[in-house]
Amino acid sequence: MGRPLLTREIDGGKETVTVPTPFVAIVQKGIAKEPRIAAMRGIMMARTKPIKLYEPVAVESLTEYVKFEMPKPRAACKFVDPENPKELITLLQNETKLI
Amino acid sequence: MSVLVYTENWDGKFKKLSLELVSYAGKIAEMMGTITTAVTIGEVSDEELKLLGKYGADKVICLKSDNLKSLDSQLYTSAIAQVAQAEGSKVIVIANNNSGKAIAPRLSVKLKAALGSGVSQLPLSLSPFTVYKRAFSGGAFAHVVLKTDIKIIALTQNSFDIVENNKEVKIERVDVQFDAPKTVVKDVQKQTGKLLLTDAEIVVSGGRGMKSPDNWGPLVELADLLGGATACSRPVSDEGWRPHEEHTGQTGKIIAPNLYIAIGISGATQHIAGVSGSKYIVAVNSDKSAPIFEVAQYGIVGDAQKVLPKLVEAVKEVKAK
Repeated sequence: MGRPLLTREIDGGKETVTVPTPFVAIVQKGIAKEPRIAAMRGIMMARTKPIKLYEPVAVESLTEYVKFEMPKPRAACKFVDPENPKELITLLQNETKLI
Repeated sequence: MSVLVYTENWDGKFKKLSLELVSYAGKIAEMMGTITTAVTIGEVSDEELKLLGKYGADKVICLKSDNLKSLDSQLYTSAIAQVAQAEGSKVIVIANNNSGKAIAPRLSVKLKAALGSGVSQLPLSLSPFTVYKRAFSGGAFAHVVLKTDIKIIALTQNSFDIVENNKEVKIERVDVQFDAPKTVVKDVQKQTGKLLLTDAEIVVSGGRGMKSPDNWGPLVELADLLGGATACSRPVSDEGWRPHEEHTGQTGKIIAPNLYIAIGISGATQHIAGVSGSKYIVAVNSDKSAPIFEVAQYGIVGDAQKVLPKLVEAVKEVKAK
């Protein structure tokens, strides 16, 4: 097997890389738009495959979740008249100072 | 001791994100009573390195290697781990972006260090070392204790204000010999001359309510007028109305601009997960009960096609003054 060619997203663009095998790829959601449905023959064959059980390995966790918090509630939405969107820009100018 | 911060550079230049990281690391160092060391990899000028000192680094280490030009997370991790060991760093700060997500977990394994990812505040306490981080895609926040001697913090972009500190910075340049990278970069396509979505302070975003890809003109114009970037929701990029790079949400880009303007976006949980870090959210939607209005501070109930041109006009008027 040669070196597979992969395209991945980087900050502000895309990059094409070649990787050796074996390799691990973390793929983006939506890469396969239509999941392939297994053939009946495959499903039947899978039934006869031996299932090997592994004992769990004890690992010590390096982190501990001590508490969860809900996000702070945001202030209620201020509605602006759709006929007068200019008011929105004025609000943004005065209250957020971002424009 | 020391707090180590990995500051990525883009063609030898730092971004606001780099300064945020240094400011954050500097603050932790202050809490711990130690110094801040920044490490970067590549060709960076003295002037640019001094900028890190301006925002809180006591020492900057610039690693240079002739045989490695692009980011290779495995090799970068080894290099950063070596610096961390040489400096005796107890806390390592890294960005929670594409490269940070590739490096931080590897660093965690290499240094047997606990990793807190998606952290959005200073540590809540130093003993036990407790960080505050996003959980459940922004639906909640968690207090997490990092139990190891060395701790790694992956900081969410735009969550910490940059503070000038004006320290006398010591610059150290080190030549390193990297092994040949396993992943070989063949081609890079970068958007040029365009403001990156993740760097933008203002983002104007369109959803299915925009009806057709032909209606994007005024949205792009609004973004340009505001000096912002454009984004879109998942259905829009899935339909091919807008490029995939603009897809914002849980499975796309997670952004935290100061102002996020959502036009024709209903605000599904998955979309909110990608934008909930925004300081202000503005929504324009024809459905008054759309969930986007629950997270927005300002809203207009109306048809995007009718409201958008008026918004553009209003901004033009303001800019003309």
